[in-house]
Amino acid sequence: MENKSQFLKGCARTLVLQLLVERPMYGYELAAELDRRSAGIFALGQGTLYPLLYSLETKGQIRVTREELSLDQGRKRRYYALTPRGRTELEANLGTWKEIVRGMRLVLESAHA
Amino acid sequence: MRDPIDRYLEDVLCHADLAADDERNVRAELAEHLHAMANPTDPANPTEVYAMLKDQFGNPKRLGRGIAAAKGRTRTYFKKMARKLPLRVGIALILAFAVRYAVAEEFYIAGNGVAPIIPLGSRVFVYKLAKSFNPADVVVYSIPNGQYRVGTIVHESPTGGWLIERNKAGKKEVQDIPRQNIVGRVFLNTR
Repeated sequence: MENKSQFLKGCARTLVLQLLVERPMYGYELAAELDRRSAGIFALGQGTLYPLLYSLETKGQIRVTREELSLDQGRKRRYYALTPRGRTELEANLGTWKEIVRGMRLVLESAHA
Repeated sequence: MRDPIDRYLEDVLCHADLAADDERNVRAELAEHLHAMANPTDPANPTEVYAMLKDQFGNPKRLGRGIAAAKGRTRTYFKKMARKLPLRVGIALILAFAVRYAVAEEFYIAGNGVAPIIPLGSRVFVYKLAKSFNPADVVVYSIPNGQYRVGTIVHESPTGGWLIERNKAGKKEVQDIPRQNIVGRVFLNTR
């Protein structure tokens, strides 16, 4: 299980960047989208999204473009958007991912043959 | 009983230990998410809500540590240092003044009272806790007009003070100085 969550976390980084290509999103929105589009596979403790967001932010791959205060005191929506550096990172990740998928498929299919 | 969301946030943030600004932002952002997650129409008891948050949002300790790590360990370290800086400077100042008041004080020598041992223009440190002196010790003492002078001890006087010798216009002058007027013994000449 620990193994699986580490694996998912690695993928989530790329997926978050991919979702932000479409439009800036705030945390809950991102978590909900990930959950919905992955049919629940990426509903890994929703909180783990935040260390991921902050680390992407520290690396300059995403940045906060807008903050929206809630009517309730002390609540805030922070919209994250992709930076040029994030876009480069995403392209590199997608390239790696395609290679991995191809390699996995080749090996797994040859095992069945 | 306290709001379980606040309690959960408190638990996360105490493990993250962020700088004040960061903490405010993270708190507001997570609060927004948690309120969106928890169904407000369902008045579940607080313990259940807390357990639900822990289950769906993550273990507060692990999450707090994760946030701290993501914010950059070095950055967090320097921010923490910066937060403690005013306190440290304050303590250092208090200590410096306490030492100056009670233990050692610096004097600038603007005369030739003990030349050539301590020439004009020297900067000396005086040990203020000295209670007894030996002949030839160099001491700083105050005179009635509020100024300070340097001189060398001759010996204890019969009145309980000390006989102190200093140069005056090329000659030696000896005065009987009351014990309470002696600031202390010169132990360091920085010139």
